[in-house]
Parts: sequence; C-alpha cells; structure tokens
Amino acid sequence: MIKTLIALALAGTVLAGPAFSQDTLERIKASGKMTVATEAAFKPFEYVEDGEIVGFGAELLAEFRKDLGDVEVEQLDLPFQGILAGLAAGQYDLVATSVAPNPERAKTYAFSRPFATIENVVVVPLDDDSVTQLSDLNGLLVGSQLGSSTEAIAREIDETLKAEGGSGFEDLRLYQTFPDTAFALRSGQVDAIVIGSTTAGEFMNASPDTFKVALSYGDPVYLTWVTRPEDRDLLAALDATIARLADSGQLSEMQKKWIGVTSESPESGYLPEGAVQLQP
Amino acid sequence: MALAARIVETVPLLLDGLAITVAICGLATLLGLLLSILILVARRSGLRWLRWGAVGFVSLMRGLPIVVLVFLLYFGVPALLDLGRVSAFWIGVLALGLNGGAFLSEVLRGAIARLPAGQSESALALGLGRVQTWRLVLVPQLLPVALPALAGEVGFLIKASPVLSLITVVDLTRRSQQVTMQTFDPLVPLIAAALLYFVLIGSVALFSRWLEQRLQRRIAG
Amino acid sequence: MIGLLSDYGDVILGGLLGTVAIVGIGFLVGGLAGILLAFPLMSRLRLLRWPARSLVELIRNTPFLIQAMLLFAAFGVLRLRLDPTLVGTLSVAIYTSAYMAEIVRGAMHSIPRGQTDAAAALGLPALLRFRLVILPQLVPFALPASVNLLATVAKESAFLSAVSVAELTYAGQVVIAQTFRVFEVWAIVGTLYLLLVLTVLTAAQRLERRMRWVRPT
Repeated sequence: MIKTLIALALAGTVLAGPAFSQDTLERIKASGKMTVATEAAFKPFEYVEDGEIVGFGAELLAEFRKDLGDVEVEQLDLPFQGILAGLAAGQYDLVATSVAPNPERAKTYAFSRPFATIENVVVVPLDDDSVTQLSDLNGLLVGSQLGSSTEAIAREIDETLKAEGGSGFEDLRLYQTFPDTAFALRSGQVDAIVIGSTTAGEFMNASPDTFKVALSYGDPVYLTWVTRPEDRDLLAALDATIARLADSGQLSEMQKKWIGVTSESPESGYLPEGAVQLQP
Repeated sequence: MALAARIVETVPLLLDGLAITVAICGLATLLGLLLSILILVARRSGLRWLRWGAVGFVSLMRGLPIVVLVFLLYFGVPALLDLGRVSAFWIGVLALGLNGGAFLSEVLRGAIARLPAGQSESALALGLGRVQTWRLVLVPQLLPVALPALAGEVGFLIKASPVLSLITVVDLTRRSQQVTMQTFDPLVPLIAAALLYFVLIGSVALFSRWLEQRLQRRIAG
Repeated sequence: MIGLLSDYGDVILGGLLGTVAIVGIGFLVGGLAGILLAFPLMSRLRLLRWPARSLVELIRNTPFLIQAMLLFAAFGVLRLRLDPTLVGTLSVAIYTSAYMAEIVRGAMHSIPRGQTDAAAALGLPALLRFRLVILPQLVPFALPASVNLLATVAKESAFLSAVSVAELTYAGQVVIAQTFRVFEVWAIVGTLYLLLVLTVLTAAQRLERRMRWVRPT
C-alpha cells in the first residue's frame, strides 16, 4: 500500500512523455528536448565555472545538439556514483560525461566512439621519490574515485601486487569526486592516488609544485559517452557527430584547446569483449 | 582576517544555491502540512486499514534516514517501476515533504492528545456541530502548538536538505562544492555555506520562539 | 536479491557494523561531552555561558553533512592523517554533544529550585544532593529524550557516506558501483536502518512509559 502510494506520488512528478514505448531519438526530435546527465567535476572535460558547465564535453554537446536540429538540452549535474544507474532507470537520455568502457559496464550500457584517449596514472606528492615502480605501492594508502574506472584499475593494481607476493595497498580509500582525491593527497590523507592522466594534468595546473606523476599503468583509457543499449539510433547519431568532428580535424582542435595535447579517436576496437551493444 | 575576507567574498557565489534550498524547503513545508493533516484524519478514521497505513507510513519515515529515502525515491523506485525520467528537484520536495509531514503529524497528534478530555463532548452537548467544535473550540487551542511546530518543521527540513546535493540538485551545499572545485580551496566555501545555513535556520528558530511567546500571551491574556 | 546478498552480504554487513560502531561510540562520547557542556550552559557567569551557548547554537543550527564536511576539510588543511571512520565518529560526537547538553539543561530546568535549597538546608553535601535529589529526577526526564536522540543520530550518520566514511550507506554505494542493482541495494540498506532505528525508538517509548510515574508534572 505504501509502495502504491509512493508510486502514485512519483508518477505525478514524472515529466511528460512516455519513456520506453517510443524510441528515444525519435522522442527527442519530436519533443525538441533532450535531458543529459553530467558529473561536472572532471576538468578539462566537464566542470563548473561561474555556475555554468563548461569544458571539452560542453563543446561536444553543443555540436551534437546542432546535429539533432538545435533541440533544447536540459543538463543535470550529478555525482558520479549512480550516474549510470540513473540512465538505466530512464531518468535521462544520455550520460554526457567522460566514461571509460570496461567489461563490467559494457554488460549493461552502450558506449559512443571515443573522443579522447588517456592513461591511468599514479600520482604522488612532488617531494615523494619513493614510488618509481608498481611494487613501491605495497603498503601504501591509495585513493581513487568511488565507482570510476580508475577504482577498478586501483583494485587491479592491488591484486597484481598481491599476486606478485607483495602485501598490496594498506587500504584503498574511495572518494565521491576526483578533486576530493587531490585534496586527500595534498593534505596527506593518502600516499598516492590512481586517476586519469588528464585529471592529473589539471591538478598540477591548479595547484603547481604539489603533485607529480609517478608512473602510468595498463592499457590506454578511451573516454566515451553512454546510452542505454536499446537506444541504437541515438548512439548512431552521437557516433556520427564524433566522426564528423574527427574527419574535419575539429576534434583535434578541441583536444588541443581543452586538454593541451591531441589523442586518438579510434573507430573500432574500443569495446570490451562481450559488450551488450555488440550483440545483434 | 584574510580568511574572513575570503569567506565574505564567497557568499555571493552561493546565493543561487541558497535560493534553491529555500524554494525546495518552502514547497516541502506546504506538502508536509497538507500531508500531516491527511495523516491525522487517517489515524482517526474508522477504517482499520487506513489507520494502520498511516501508522506504518509514520514509522517508515521515522526509521528511514533521509539519505536512504532520497536514494530510494530517486534511483531505486524509478528503476523498479520503469517510471522513466523523474525530476531531482521534485523528488527533493516529495522526500522532504513526506518526512516533514510524518514529523509534523506526530507533533500535532501529541498536542491533540494533551487537550483536556471532555471538551468536544461538552461542545457537542452545547449543540455545536463537529466542524464547529473543531473550528471554535479545538483549533484555537491547537494553534499555539501548531504554528511553532510548523516553524520547527521548516528548520528540520532545512537541516535535512543538503541530502539533495547528492542527487544533482544544485542547492547551497552542492554550490559550495562547485566553488571548491573551481578554487581548489576545500575550507572557505564550506564555512561560507555553514554561515548561510546558520543564518537561515537560526532566523526560523527565532521566528518560531517569538511566535510561541506571542501566541501563549494571547491565550493567557 | 538472494544472489546479491550471498555475493555482497559481507560488504553490507561490514557497513552495518561500521554504522553501529560509529553511532555507538560517537553517541557515548558525545553524550558525556554534552553532560559536561550543560554545566557552563546553565552557569550564571556570562563568560562561561556565552561560549557554550554559541557552540550549542552553531551545532544545532547547521546541517550535519556540512559539519562533517567541515571537520574533514579542517583535518585536511592541518595535514593530520586520521582514519575517516575516526573523523566520522568525532563528527557524530560533536553533533550529539550539543543536543545532549540541551536535553540535560531542559531536565535540570524542570526540577524546582526549592528542592536543592531544601536538601542543602537538611545539611546534605553537594555531591549527595546531586545523587539523591537531582539525579533520580533527571534520569526519567532525560533518558527517553536521549534514546530518541540516539535514533536521530543513527539516521543522520547516513550523511557520512558523502565524505567516504565506511558505513552502511557507503557500503550500499560500493555494491551499486559494482552491480548496478539500485533498488535492491537501497531496499536492503533501508530495511537495515529501519530495524536499527525502530528498535531504538521502541526502547525509548518503553522507557518513557516506565518512567512516567516518577516524572515531575
């Protein structure tokens, strides 16, 4: 009875428009409105300046919007944990925030063509010379972001260390945002953090002479946006926008402008095996 | 002193967030007020399932942390029921309203229970109708309790409202975090936000106390 | 749901234990601190009363999440490395102390001043006066209110997940990050809180009923 009540009350708050019966792209074009979710705490890709969400992703979103026929965009700023779950729950049409495909996520979600490629790096305080190779992380307190692809990488490093006979991390501390990991490292709450290379670059810009990259780890990380796997048309439209920008050289320009360096936007090979979007 | 200057400089950056906090708490208070009356009516109803439903609902709200309630309503229930898109703002109003309504209904129930017994019987004996009894005899006695309770509810809701920063709403708390990420200063935006919360909640509390004294004097005099 | 519990039950259980420990220890420490804080709060000396009053009002008129975030940020600025669980427990203790101080003050207020004077006139020393006259009247008044406070604190502690303290809500987030099973996880976590808090509230109600006969009217 309470469940029914809650359901009824919630139904009243659901915005107009059937959510699943109609194809999402069709509905966006018909209603002229798209809702996207962003975690605006991932400089230079998406972050807040003077109350606006700006960055590489904001420029990409503007291009995508243009290709959809200038639809109105409602952009929600969400914490990263739950952002993918919210997509599955149908609370928005698209996750327009940098997400790295990994096997766990690929079982449930569909990824766009990557718009940039970065690396996973281990960052330590500038004056710390004790970390030069992976095994130096044994016994250290390591931080990363809860629910991020770097959390998975950090867990992988820990397992690798233990498999090689080491003690592994003293502990893995997970924070709600990437900047939180930087604050934790700067204030000595952790010894090292596992983050993306562009994030590391931003931290070193924002707070010079504080951090350095001790080492990089694993395969390149592709940054993509995410749709529900059944929204194939929406995904294709997004891929077409990224392809147009890549082919015209505009994507490289955007990368130079926001990230400082250019990187690859591969047309294929960026999906983990068994990805749900590869199934017919 | 430099710290104080930086805090003062940060305050204007947070006013957008403050406005959202005030708007959500205001709407939630109205919802809570409405709901508390419905709960009270349900608890006095002759229908057993309605009474039990109201009691169950109040227990649920008293036992569930607001954080978990908001996560359930925003992430959980839409996923379960395939509801599609829900607005974080209105989920915020709903969650705080449900919580505040349960809270307020308990306060009012306590106040009604403390009314001297036999009053409504005497009123009926004097030939007053049910509605008239409530309007002329009972409500004037409840008001001195109900109005401060309502103010108490507002303070309670403002203190719970930072939960909305966890689900996309750019309220005062979330706004201060955004400024932190921009300036790389973890402390100053938080102190500024704490200051604004203090002024907001403090003035509601002062207003409530003033109201209480005024109403009590009027009843006594 | 069964699969989820068998795979991640230990994570959730760990979170529950975290919540119980943080709330239990934080409440105990904060409760004692609150009793101590009540004395300057009731002092006739402004010099003692005002700082205590300011502290209590500051804590009672700001949200718990902001207090916890401030505490974490402050330790960060001081470059003190403390376990997040410890800082979380400390923020629970600070929060508890302010509300407890008010409960104790309210309880003392309800005892007629004449009683202490009468006891003094009978020649009872101060400590005995407190133990025999004040305390027996204080407890029936303050105990149910304290247990109610414990329930509130247990609910507020869920905010600590936002500052990465390993407690029940945080455990839920960790499990969701790995399974994406949103509703089930929050339903399980919610049920555990419900059991915890309602048990405490029921105890408060029992205490209240049991002590009504000694309560000053």
